[in-house]
Amino acid sequence: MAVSASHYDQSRFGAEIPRFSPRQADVLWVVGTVNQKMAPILKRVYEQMADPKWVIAFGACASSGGFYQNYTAVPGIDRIIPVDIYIAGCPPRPEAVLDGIIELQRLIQERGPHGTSGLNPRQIKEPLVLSRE
Amino acid sequence: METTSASPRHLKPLDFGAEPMVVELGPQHPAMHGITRFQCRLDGEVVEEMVPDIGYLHRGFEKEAEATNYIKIIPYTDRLNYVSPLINNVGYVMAVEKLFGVEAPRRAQYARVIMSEISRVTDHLTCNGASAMEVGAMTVFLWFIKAREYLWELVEEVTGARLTTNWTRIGGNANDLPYGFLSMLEERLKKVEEAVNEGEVLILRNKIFIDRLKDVGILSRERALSYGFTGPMIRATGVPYDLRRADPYLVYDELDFEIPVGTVGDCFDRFLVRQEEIRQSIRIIRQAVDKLPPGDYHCRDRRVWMPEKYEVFNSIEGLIDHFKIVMEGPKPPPGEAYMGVEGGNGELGFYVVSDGSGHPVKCRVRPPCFNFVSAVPEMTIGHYVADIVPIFGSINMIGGELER
Amino acid sequence: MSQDPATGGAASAAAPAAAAQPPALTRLLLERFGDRVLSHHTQHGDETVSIRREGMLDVFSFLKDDPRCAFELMIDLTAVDYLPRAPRFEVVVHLKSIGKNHRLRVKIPVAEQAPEVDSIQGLWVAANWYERECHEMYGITFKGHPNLAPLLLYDGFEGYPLRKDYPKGYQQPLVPMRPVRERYDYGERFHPVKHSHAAAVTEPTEG
Repeated sequence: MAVSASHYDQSRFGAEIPRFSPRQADVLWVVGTVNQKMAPILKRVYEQMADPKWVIAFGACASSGGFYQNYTAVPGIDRIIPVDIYIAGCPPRPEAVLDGIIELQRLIQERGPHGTSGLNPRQIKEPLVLSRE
Repeated sequence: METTSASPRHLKPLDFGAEPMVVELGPQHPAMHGITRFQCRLDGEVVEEMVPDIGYLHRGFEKEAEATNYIKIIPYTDRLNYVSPLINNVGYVMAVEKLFGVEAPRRAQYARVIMSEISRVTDHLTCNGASAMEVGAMTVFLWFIKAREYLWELVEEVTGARLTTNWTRIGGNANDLPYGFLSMLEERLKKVEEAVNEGEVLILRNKIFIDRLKDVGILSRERALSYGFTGPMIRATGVPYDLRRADPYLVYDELDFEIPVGTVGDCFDRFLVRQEEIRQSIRIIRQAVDKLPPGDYHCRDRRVWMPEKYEVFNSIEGLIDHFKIVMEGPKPPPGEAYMGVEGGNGELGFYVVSDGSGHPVKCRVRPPCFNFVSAVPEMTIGHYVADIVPIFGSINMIGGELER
Repeated sequence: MSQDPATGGAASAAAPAAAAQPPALTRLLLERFGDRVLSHHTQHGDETVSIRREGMLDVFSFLKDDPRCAFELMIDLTAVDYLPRAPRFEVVVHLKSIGKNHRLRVKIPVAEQAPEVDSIQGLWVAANWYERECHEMYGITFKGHPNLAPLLLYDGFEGYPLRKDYPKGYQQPLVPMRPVRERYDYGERFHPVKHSHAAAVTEPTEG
C-alpha cells in the first residue's frame, strides 16, 4: 500500500496500475503467506494470466514460508508456481520492493520480453517436422 | 409519429422471471481486504443469502506458538494484526507477565501506552481511509495514508521497523524511547490532526459518501452483544464498552479520555466513532507524554530479563541466568492467564497456559474481527450487492488476525 | 494429576484452607449448582470454574440470564489439549459482563474417547464460529450445532492439527507440490561471488 502512495510512488518506475483481473496482468505479486487452502487459487490465478508473465514473491513468507513451518503454510510459493524475483524482508521495506521491480525490469531487458517463468510464445522449442506420407 | 406520441413515457417493467444468481466475491478480489471469500445468492441486486468462507491466511499461529519459547512468540504476534502490531505485542507480553507475576516499570508502561495509542491511530486511519476509498473518495485515502506514514516513521524510530515491530519484552520494552522522540512526536501529531481534519471536511458533508454509509449494515445492540462485538463496532451501537475503561490495564486509569459512542450502529456511526477515537488517542498520547516518568524501561527480574553484559562476563550467576534465558527461555510457573487489551478492532485477548516448561501448552488469541466477519451475513442480507464493500470496509477485517 | 497445570492450581484452591472465601460468582455457582462444579480457582485474578459436561447448558443459561451474573458477551471459546492427562481436553469459555463488569472463565473437561460437549451457540451467536474452529482444530463435537463444517481448514483435511499428537509440519496439500532442485543460472550480475554457497539457488524444476 505504502509503495503505491505518494511517499514512495512506484509509478516513477513504470509500475503503475494494479489490474483487477489476472487476464490483463503481466506481473503477479504474491504478497504474504500462502497456505494450503490458498494454493489452488494461486495456481489458478497464475494459469489465467496471459503469456508473457512474471511472478514476484513479496517477502520472506511468500518466498520460503518464513518462520511459518507448519501444517498449513506452503514453504515458498515456488513449490506451487515458478517465481522470477524474490524480495527479502518480512515484510519488505518499500525500498526493497522498488528494487525488486527494477530488478525485474533488468531481467526483462537481458532476457527479452518473454516471461522468464512461463511459456515463451515466440520461441519454438522443437522444429516442426512435416510428415511426408 | 403517432406511435411515438401515443407511446407511454416509461416502458412497462418487464417480468424477466429473475432467477437468483450466485456470485462469488473473493478470495482474490481487489475490493476485499485480505483474502476472504463470500458466496452470495442475489435476487436482482439484493443479497438474499451469504456464506463467508475464511481461512485463506490461516498460518497456524497457535501451533507455532506451542513449539517455540515465550520470547520467540513476540515476533509472531506482530503478524496478527499487522496494522497495529504494537498492541498485539503489548497484549501478549502482558498475558505472560501476568503468568510470571512481574510488572513492567512505570516508564515502560507509559511508553507502552504511547506506542499502543499510536498504533490505534494508524489502525483507525487505515480502516477509515480504506472505507472512504472504497466508496470513491480516493483523496481521503491518500491523506490518511500520508498521516499514517508520519506515525509509522515514528514507530520505526522507536522499534526499528515499520510494521513488524517486535518491541515489547516480558517485563519491559526492547529499548527506551529514543532521544528527541517526544518533540518529534508532538510535531507529527499536529500533522496527523491536520490531515484527519482535512480529510473529514472533505467527506463528512459529501452526499454520496453519507448516502453510501448511512443506514447500511445496521446490527441492533442485542444482536451485536450476542455476536460478541467489541471495540468500535459495539461502541457504534451505543454501548460504552472500552477495555481501557472497563478493566484498566497499564496506566489507562490515570489518563483522561472520552469513549465515543454511536446511536444506530450503521457504517456511518462506525466511521464517526473511529474518527473521534483518533482524536481521543492523540489526547491520551499528549497526556502520557506529559506524565512520562523517569526510570527504567525494563524490570530487573532475573527470570525474564537478561542480566547486563558486565554481569554475564564477570559473574557465574549472570552467566547462568543468561544461558538459561537464551537456551531454554523463561519458564513461568504452571498456570493459566487471560489478558485482554483494547486492540484497534476490539478486545484482543491472549490466553496462555503454562505447564512450567519453556513452551506454552496453549497460546490462544481471541481475535476481535472473528466475530465481526461471522456477523457479516446478517448485516448484509437485504442490502444491495454494492453495499457489501462499505460494510466489509467498516468492520476492518485484518486477515492475519482473523485467521491467525 | 500433579503435572497438570490447570487443575494443579485448582486443586489447591479447592482445598478447604485456600478456599476460605471464594469470590462472589463462584459462591453463587456453588450454591446453585453445587454438584456440577468440579473445581474452582482465582489464579492471577481470573475467576475460574470447572464444571461437569452433563447439564452444562443449564449453567450457561443461568450465567447469561440471571441478573446477578448477566454475562452478555461470550468473549472466547477454545480448547486445550493436555495430552498425557486423563481427561485429555478442556473446553475453555471466557465470559464478560458489561453491566456488572466482571469476568468468568468456565472450563469443561472432556475425555479423549467421544469428545463431545453441548453447543452454546443458542445462547450466544458468537459461539457458532468459535465452535466450528474448535471442532476442526481439536475434533471436539458440539452437540446441537447446526453446521460443523471446516472454517479455517479445507474439506479433505484429515486429523486435527492443534492436537498435541498431530506433527507440526505434516502438510496435506491440495495441489501437488513442485519438486525442488538446485539451479544456478542467474548470471554474474545477480550473484557476483562465484563458488559461494549463497550463489546456489534452490529452484524448483519446471512442471
